[in-house]
Amino acid sequence: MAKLKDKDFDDFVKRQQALSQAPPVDWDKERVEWLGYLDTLYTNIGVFLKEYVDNGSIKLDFKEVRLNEENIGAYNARKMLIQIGRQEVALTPIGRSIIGAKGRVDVEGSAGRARLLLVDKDATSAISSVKVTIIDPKRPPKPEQKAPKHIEWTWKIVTSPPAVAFLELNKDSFFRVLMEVSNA
Amino acid sequence: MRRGRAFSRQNVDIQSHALYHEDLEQSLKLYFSAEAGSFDFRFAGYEPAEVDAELGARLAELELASTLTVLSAVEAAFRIDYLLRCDLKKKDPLSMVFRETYKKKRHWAHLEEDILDVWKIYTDGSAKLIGDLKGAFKFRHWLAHGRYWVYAGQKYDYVTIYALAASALNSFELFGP
Repeated sequence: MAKLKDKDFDDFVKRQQALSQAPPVDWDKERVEWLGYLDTLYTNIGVFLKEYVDNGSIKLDFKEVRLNEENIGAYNARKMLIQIGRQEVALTPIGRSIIGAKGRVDVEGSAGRARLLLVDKDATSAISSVKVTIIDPKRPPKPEQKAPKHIEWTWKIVTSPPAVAFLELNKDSFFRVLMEVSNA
Repeated sequence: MRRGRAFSRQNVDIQSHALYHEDLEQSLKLYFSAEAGSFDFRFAGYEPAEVDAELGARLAELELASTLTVLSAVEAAFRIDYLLRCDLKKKDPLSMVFRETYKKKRHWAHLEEDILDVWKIYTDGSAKLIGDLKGAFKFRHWLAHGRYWVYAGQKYDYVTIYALAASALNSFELFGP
């Protein structure tokens, strides 16, 4: 029993197949959707900064960057540049294929970096609380028949470890991020 | 417990390490700012952009070092659990497979093939986490061996790795010394 048996492995493969009855991912659609969420982020930030952009104290600019991701392939995305006096803060899209999220943008200034993640609106932390249980592959638990949950994706700020909490992205929290990465 | 088994108890607690990382990050930011007493001497002749670039390089290096430390801590946790499951003669299917591996490989069991893959087969709900961990360990391999080849896989940052490590340590019921 103790040695990993071929039968145990066969059972494992069957279990994984049963769990993956979902249709294959349409990666073109995923890329278009991710770029759409990126545009939404930039639009929201434009609204946060409108007063300063209108009076000329902050300048916004965009640059194209080339991303290359497994499954999606190579594509262009926009990077946002925020010029505040001598300080320049760049919002760089990192990609769609991110552990625990559906996209990531790094906010980088002269004094460091913060991260924005596209996550489930209900998520409060990047640390999973799912419990893994030991099973006998001969008597695997029946897969739960849960109705697929509709996820509303939203951009959140990720705090530093050890908390790694998700904070709501709003005008106030974004201004704090800008000051932090600019060493203000 | 197997007689003579001694753990160093110096394995890293990732939460404590996160505070250490934060202290280093804040110290670097202060050292590279005009508020630091040594600033004028240390950065004499620099342009502001050069100071910023050097700080950026230091912070990036700190991230890589911390990423390596956190992934090593995860490896230690899984290896300690593997050894303790062998010593404690647990009757669950996972522990029994580990004991067979131990007979042949002792503490030289392969992390991915002999430990993580077995966890994946003998547990429910672990496939995604194990897949993510194995990807991260490829990055750790590159870091630990001196980054001398062009790494083409998924790149990770410290925060992502910390969240993955904390999720794994939180989700798997690992025995500790």
